[in-house]
Amino acid sequence: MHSTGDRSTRAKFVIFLLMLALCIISLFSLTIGSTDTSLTAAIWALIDGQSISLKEQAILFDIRAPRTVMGLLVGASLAVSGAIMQGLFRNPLADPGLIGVSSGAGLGAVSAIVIGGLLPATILHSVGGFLVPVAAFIGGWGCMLILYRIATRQGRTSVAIMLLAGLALSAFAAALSGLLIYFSSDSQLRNLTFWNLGSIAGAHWDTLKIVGPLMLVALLLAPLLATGLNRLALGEAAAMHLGVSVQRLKRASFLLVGVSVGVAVAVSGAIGFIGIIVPHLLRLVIGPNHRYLLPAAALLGGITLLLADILSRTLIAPAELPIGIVMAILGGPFFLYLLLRNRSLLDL
Amino acid sequence: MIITKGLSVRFHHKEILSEVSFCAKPGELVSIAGPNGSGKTTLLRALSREINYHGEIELDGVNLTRLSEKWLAKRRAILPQATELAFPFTVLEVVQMAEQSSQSDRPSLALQRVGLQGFESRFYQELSGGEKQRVQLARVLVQVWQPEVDDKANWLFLDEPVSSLDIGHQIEVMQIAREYANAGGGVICVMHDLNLAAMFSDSIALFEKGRLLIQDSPDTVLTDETLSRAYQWPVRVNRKPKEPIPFVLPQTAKSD
Repeated sequence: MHSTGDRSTRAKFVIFLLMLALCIISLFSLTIGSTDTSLTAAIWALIDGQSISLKEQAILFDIRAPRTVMGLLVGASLAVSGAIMQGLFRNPLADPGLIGVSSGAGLGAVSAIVIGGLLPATILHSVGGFLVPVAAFIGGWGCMLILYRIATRQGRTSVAIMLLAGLALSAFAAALSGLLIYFSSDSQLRNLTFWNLGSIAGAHWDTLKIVGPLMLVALLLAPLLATGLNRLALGEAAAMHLGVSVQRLKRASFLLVGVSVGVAVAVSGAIGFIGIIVPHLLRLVIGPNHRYLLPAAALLGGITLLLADILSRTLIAPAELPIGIVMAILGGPFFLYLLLRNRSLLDL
Repeated sequence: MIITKGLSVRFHHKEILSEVSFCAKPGELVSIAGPNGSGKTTLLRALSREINYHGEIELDGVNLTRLSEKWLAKRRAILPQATELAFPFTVLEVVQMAEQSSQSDRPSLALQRVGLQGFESRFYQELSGGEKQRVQLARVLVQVWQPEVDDKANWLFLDEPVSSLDIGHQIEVMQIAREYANAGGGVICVMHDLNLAAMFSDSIALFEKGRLLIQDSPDTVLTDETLSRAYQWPVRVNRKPKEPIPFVLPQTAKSD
């Protein structure tokens, strides 16, 4: 611990290290995969200004690059959303799932897979291959809006009501999903299972063009919440007396989390753990100051998801494991290790 | 100057404060006293705009409802009875939260002022109740650092600031409040200890069952008759010879 109690220098240093790590991991993500083409050589050739083969170009620019960018954005979005939710609910175990985004998105995805075929042909035609992500996004947002309306009275949103109503709404959405799953065919069931396990293997520039800017804007706006979230740690009344417009802070947070998690779940399915484990780990290292926690969470979230993705496509190459499985297998024990190691700090 | 006109607060059809006309002047320390449940903290919460009220509260002649939270944050700071933190912030980080603009040495100075130099890197959640209270006082002081800006007073609202402190720190904290008032600021302070209130206040507002019984100088308010009535308990006020400050002793038996 820094003797002055000011951890900002350490936080800036950690953020610098995370930036370096992010660059290195991104290069790895571009060069490692189930193909035996020497892409490392290809990248060096590119840097030297030489031309590379069409096949190498295709793998690098059309498969690996969008997948890497998607991994970074999804990981960053999930981790930052987790940190925002934890700050807002004043609880290190809070999760975007609390505001209904995940279960709503799940219901949307299940509906699209099981009964999406019943939609009018014009709609099906216009959304094309994006039916599942679009439905997931609508479901996530719908669920969150309902919850916000339930918890808001006379211009004030009650965090406690949101938490309880969120439990009820999530259970209801899960039950509806279950009902749909019960009536689904075997092939639909298989699609559902894979959606639930999460993956960024389908990342494409076409999708990225739409969702990339949304996630990027949300990530860039997130640091504006830092001062408010810090002061909120003192309680809602104290934050208000320090000049924080608490209601505006809540609304802005829900909006940002709704967009980033809604999009992230829509394109990559249910990837758990990042939202809790990344902010938790960072708080142990640089402290809970959101001014540093939010950018650091974005970086470490991206790194973590890329690492999991690299593992998911190399462990049983040429086949691929769903990234959700990798995340949970690595994340679960690691989280337990952190809990046990830092028990004294958690008792505070 | 802070004035309330016909201030009433209701919770679930029960009147907690009724028709209170209270006044606090810049440069003065006003203590709010009275038995448990008499409405002391409710008055402070109404003044802080934490709860809905009927009637009017004016700050320098302007109705409180017309002022923004952001503007008010620069003019008055509020010390709650107790503050628990959600995350493991250090003491310095807690005090820094009150800074309106860029970083300065005020947080360190404020910590020194409340006798907590050397505590900067300790975790807030590890401290004792009294230490936490003093960290919060330091934070509140940083928020309205200047007692007076452009001839306008800034305000400290303190809700039982000494309730969890030992006697040495009680005096220390009351001295900080007193100095703030002497420098031109206004201080409103909910107090349980009538003797401390007598020692440090310019005026005492005594509450009984939601009504303001009397607001006047300690000498006038602290009498056997008034206190016994407000607290429903026989109380005797004594005066040390040659010293004007009264001190209060509750009697041991109600029949005395």
